[in-house]
Amino acid sequence: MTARIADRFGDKAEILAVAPNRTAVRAAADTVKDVAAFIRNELNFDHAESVSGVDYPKDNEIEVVYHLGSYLDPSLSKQIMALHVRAPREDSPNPGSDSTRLPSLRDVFYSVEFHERECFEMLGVYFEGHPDNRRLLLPEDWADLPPLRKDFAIKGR
Amino acid sequence: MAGVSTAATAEVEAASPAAPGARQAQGGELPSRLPPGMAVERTDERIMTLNVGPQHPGSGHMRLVIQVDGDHIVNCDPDPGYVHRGEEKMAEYRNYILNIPHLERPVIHDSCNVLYPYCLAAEEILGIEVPERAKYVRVIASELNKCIYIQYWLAIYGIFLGHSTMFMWPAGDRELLIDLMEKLTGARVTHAYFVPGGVRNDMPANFEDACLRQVAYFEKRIKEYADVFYDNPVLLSRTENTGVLSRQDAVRFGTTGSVLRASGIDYDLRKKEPYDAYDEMDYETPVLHKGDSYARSRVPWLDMMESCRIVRDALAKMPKSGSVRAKLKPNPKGKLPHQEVYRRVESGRGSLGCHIVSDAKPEPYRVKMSVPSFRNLICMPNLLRGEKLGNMPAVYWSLNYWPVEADR
Repeated sequence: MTARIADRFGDKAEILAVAPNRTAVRAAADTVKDVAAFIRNELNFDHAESVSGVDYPKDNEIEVVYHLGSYLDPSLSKQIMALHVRAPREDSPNPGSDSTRLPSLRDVFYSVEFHERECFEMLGVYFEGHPDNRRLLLPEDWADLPPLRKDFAIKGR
Repeated sequence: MAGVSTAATAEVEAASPAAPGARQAQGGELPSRLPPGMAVERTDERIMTLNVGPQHPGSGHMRLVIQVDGDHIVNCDPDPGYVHRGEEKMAEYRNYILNIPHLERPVIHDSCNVLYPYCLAAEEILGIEVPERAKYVRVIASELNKCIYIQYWLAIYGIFLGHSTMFMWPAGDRELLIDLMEKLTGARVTHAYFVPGGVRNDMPANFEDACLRQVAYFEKRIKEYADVFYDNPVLLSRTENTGVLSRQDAVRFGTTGSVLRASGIDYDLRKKEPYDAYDEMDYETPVLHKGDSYARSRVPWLDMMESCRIVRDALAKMPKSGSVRAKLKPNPKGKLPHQEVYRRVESGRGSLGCHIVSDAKPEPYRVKMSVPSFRNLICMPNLLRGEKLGNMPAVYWSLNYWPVEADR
């Protein structure tokens, strides 16, 4: 599986880790849609289980991790493909209007729809091509930093 | 449904900056650029918009913005977030052990299963091996807890279909298992029983007998639900062929648990990716094929019977003595400078995943809970479109949806 990704995308997709039943791949932001389409069409993963955003202020980047699984291919039922992609991070974010953007994978995996909305409000990663980038969990008038960024501090901690 | 609401029908580019919170006066010019995340809502004389919730008891702690044409739903926009508590953010400030009592809060009725993937992931990060006996105790606690959750859900499902007997019976029978869990863990609902490394305490001496007795009675009781509820023509008329989710859509939307298995896909993590002692358990996974509200309401009930089988099987197969908790150092740390782990379990609602990123500190760097309620939410608008408004509770609650879990 990893060999096929490496063959197809070369250094555009980096294999991060291979553990039993878990594979982690990092794609560049401009190729992530192609990698995702390859994972769906050629490797038979059919749905996204989870989309986590992780803030890395040290690298000045925000990482989005798609955990992809397969219901229909019995040989993949234990497998999870973790597709990592990184977006630039801004010190004073203006969610939706700054450089923290990634292409949305909603056209490839429909199941990321709400997960990407959550990621947008919690980390300020704007997903280009997502049909509905409204807030989901936070109040509509939330005017603070996106709360899962590391510089958003909990009171008293 | 935030933001600008106007009768004008101009096309507005949605992805461009403007002052936050800008509001458009009724009938005035539309701003040429809307803030990201805001949308123009079109109004129509024929279509009426209804807010179902968040106070409406039939919606749970969430709001459904439903647009109706006469009696039929033309659009539905779920608006969760009324009970968002920032569990994931809190988890970044507390060490692996202190995270236990608050991470179970999203679904207190299924608290063992909510903690389960977190404990599995934390064990992988900290490099702990769970003692053999603890693996079986976990299976028993997890299955009992699953039944407790399903009974609670079934009670709510019953009352929202106007069937008050189906509220009383599960709510009463649930007490049998709650008593068992109290014996086992010391708490009725919020157990905080699973810890990285095993379970908090061993079973009390008389637990096995009490468990077998109470589970046998419980099983007898839930079989009686068929007469009063599942074979009831009133229930059938309201739930059969409503909110049909096809097999393809169930996969495309990434649904999980009873919703997925009611649409004909045999996917149960206890069988597909067995964790702890599940590979030694003997049971069947119930799968139905019709994909309607009735099938979705029936799968959890069949699940409960299998859970009873698993509990008996685990009690018979478990080692009769031994430790139930691996020793942990104070403030355990991850072994590697950067570690990412994703573990999942089958909970009462479906696959529950936990993604932990560790940077070798006593606190996790990031904890993400991928919860089944949130994953199943995505199909709600598609199921409700075209249904009658009166069928809304039948479809909504058949999704086995727990609003607090979706919000975290």
